[in-house]
Amino acid sequence: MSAQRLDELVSALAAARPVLDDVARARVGAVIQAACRADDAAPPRSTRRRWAIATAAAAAAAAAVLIVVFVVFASRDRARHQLVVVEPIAPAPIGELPDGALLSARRGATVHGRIHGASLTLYGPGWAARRADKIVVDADAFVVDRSAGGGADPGSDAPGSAPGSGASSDPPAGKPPAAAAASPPIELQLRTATIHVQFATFSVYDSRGLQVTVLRGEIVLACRGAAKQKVTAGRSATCGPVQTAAASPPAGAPGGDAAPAATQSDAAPNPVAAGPPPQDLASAPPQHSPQTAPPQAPPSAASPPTGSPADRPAAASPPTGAATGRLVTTSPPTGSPADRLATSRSTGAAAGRLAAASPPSGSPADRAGQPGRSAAMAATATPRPASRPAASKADRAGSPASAGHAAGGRAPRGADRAGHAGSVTVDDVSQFPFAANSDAEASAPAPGSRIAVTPPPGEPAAPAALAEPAAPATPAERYAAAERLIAKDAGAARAALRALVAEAPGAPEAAPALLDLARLAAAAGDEVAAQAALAQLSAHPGAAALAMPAAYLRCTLERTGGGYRTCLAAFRAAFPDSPRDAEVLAGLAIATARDGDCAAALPLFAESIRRYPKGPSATDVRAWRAYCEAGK
Amino acid sequence: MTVALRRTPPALDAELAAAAAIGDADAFGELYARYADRVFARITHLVGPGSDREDVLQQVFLELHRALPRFRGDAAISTFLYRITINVACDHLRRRKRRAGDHDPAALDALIDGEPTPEDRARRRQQLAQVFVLLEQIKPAKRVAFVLVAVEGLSLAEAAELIGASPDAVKQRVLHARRELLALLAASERIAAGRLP
Repeated sequence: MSAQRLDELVSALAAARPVLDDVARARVGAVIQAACRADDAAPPRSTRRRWAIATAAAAAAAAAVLIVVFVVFASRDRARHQLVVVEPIAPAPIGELPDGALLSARRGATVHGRIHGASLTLYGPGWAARRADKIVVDADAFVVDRSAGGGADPGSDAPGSAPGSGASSDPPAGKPPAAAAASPPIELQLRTATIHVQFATFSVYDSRGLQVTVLRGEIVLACRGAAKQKVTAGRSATCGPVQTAAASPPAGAPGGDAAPAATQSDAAPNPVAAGPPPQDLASAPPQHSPQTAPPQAPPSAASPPTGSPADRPAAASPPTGAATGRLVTTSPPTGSPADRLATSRSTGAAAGRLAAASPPSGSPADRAGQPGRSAAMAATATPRPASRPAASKADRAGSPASAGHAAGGRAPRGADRAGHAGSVTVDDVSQFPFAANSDAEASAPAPGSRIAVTPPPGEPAAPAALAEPAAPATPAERYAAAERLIAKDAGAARAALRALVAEAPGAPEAAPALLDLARLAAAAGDEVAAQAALAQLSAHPGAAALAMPAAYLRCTLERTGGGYRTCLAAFRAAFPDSPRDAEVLAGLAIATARDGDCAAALPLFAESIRRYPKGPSATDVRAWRAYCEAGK
Repeated sequence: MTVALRRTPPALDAELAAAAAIGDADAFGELYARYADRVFARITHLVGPGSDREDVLQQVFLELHRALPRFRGDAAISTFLYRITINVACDHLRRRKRRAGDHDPAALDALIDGEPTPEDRARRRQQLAQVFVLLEQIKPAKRVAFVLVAVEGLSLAEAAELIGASPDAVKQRVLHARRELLALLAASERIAAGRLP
């Protein structure tokens, strides 16, 4: 019942004949006309969209630039802070530094080691080394703690004695003689002074001048060119300001400061200032020399460093000895790679090479670069015969420079972790995969030749972080993108289609692209371009699939020419079941009528109305049929 | 038959569309003159006999004016225009609050064709009012599909082309609309019979 009722209602609605009365038609028409005029006067929507997109892109770019600038400045500021803040020393196992081994600290880093029973804490840049019964130190600042019992007991508060002083031969009061005998006095050789100490804790700050502050025990300080002085706990002493580089000619040069140093009877020649004896370099064993810079390469070998403390590591030559000893360093947990790189470069030729070999931003290798640098610095000098047994491990593993190469160029995960934790031992270089690379050793350059640090095997020379170039889009993707553009921006779509056809003329997508180009050209009124695109399409292997739409488009291009009727008739003959038949038939009938051949047109009109009464051109067909019938 | 009295042959829709696309106001006016009645009739079927039909009509032709530069000629201009009509009517129905039988009798009278007797006119007016009330209560998408297929007699494919959906989807919408309309009609009949509380 309801269904029947609903059908009646639907029929009533279908029978309704809404009529737009003339007043409403005129009113709406006027409004539309005014609105269209306003639309035409306004910039095209696409233009507005382009402006909006451009504005948004500009704003995004400006924001990105601001963010980048902010990040850069923030990181610089952070790096600057890192330079001035003394980082805490991570607890590290302290082992006795073997003879000839080097304890070095780069700028801003703190290194902790033990030499001759003295616990030595260096604040970089600087280094310390053991030479027989002496400790050679060159650092911005350092603290020495040598307590009774080998300094292993930091809680010991026993007063020390200065062996160089008058009481040097006697053990300190309350100190067992056996302890003093087990810990003989040591001598610290600084740039401008010598310190004799048996048991004491003192700090040395060596910036403009040497300042020594004794916290516990006593020391004997012998400044260059001055008398010895005893400094006891709670006292400080200073030496004169350090001579500048301009005022300090190389050792041995006339007017140099070697003469005053030589006049100091009780102080040994300053090894820091003088550097290792040239004859040591000359007598370097061949197995070390391939990775060792030629004798003239380390500038410090011939010219003593006399610059500011910050420059000293770069100019100073490390002491002799191979980097085989157990070396405990405390790497800073943070620090920019650039800073590390700069520090590495400032530490001499070998370190410079290491820096060049290290990845530009590879923090693991960089973190491991500290001991590697130490090893390499040590490797630039000749190990003394006495240190040969101690140097066995690195030598067995390969050349010392190969250890430095390993540490500076590429560190294994173990070393990376150790460096991250704050301590790396030089012994670890034997675990490096290419430390024992006999091929590398065999192919090492001849002595005196220039060292060329090559990337480790299997390691690409280029940074691994390089972005891969974007893969070019496939013709299908490009055509899909161009097709999306057709409805939005005909110009851009045309350009994209042209580019696709030009770059991939044989691609299957080139055929529809050509057809779209022809359509766009026809829509723009450029019949020549449309015909050219169609001609190009007809030569394409995929033209057969597009024959019908291409033929229809070709006919529409003929609309203004004389071949329109012929073209449409041929189209109907070629594609009788075309979905375009309604339009083609109507077009053919109307074209015939337009040519004045209403007699031929009327049957076509009749066929069109019969076959396609609701066709897209039914209005036109009826109008033209009426026109022809009226003229009959 | 006024067309038959023209001395100049009528321009084709495609020609008018092409001319209007490049800013020929006369061509666009001719398109408006040709299609305003049909678009208005379709709008009436879709949105009802309210006074908002003129607004919708105006919006349809404004959209056509804006869309003509993008018209590629793949379809007839009438198809293109009807698609716009459907979209605008759908948007209008979604925005408009549903009305419950507040149709103007004069507007309904204007829909009645021919010269029926007063009784017949009253009956048809009542039918039109009832069908519009029922159509107001279903969702616009179903309403549009139902009107195009059941009222205007388009095939599923034609309706699907205008709506921009698949024929199956249109079929489902029509079936659902019919089911809902039947339920609503049954309910209204029960209410009229006083069988519902």
